[in-house]
Amino acid sequence: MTGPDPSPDGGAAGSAESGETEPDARFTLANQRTFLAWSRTALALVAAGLGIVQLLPPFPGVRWGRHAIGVPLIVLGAVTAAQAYREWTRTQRALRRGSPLPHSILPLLLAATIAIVAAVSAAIALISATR
Amino acid sequence: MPPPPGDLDPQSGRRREPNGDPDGDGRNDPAGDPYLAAARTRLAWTRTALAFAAVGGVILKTSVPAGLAVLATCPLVWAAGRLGGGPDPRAGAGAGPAPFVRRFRLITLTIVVVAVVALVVSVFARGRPA
Repeated sequence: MTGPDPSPDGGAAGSAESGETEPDARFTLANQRTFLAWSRTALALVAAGLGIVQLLPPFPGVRWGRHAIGVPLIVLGAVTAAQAYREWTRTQRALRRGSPLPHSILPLLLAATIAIVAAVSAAIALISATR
Repeated sequence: MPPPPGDLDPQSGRRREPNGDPDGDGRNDPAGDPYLAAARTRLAWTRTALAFAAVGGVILKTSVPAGLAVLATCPLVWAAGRLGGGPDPRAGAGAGPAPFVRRFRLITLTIVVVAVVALVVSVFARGRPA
């Protein structure tokens, strides 16, 4: 059986059987930098969420306000890190096969969550101001 | 035996080294690290280590042991980028495999653990009072 190699980096390097070859090192390094950039974004989301929950003063009249903003950011940080790893493996595999690069859902995921958190933040600020 | 005329650099008049570096000392070697890909990747690892330090600093404000644990990962992340085993930009296509899978898996796992720690701290630790 000659199924696809689950490992993006090892195993089938240069294997003629699987039709995969190790890509140009510059492409591998660029893919690596993209993974690291998403990892930093994930860490920034975790830091922002924790900072909102722990360092901001509570919203008057909305006791759950800080958690409603901060906790989704922390969860998004964890999801971003896991998805970044998944996309790194998929991209590396595509580079090795010479196939088109896979579509990334991370920009959409990040933009949608930040927009929702911004809307929730605005609602909390308005509720807090009216109380 | 004098070098063939085709191997002379037209600007300096000196003989070109086989790798295209006119000085022969490696500083201007275009084949050494084309587009500075490896240098930029090392810097990306350093920025990632600094991001871990920033998160550790935020956690330190509310939970000292958890913050110290996250801060302890910074030198490890930095060292992970400095360790060898990565692809050589001079090698071009067809080079050997890069053993980065375990390193990246570890980074991902660390970020997820840090996020869980942050969640626990944010839910159970007392935040800033009114």
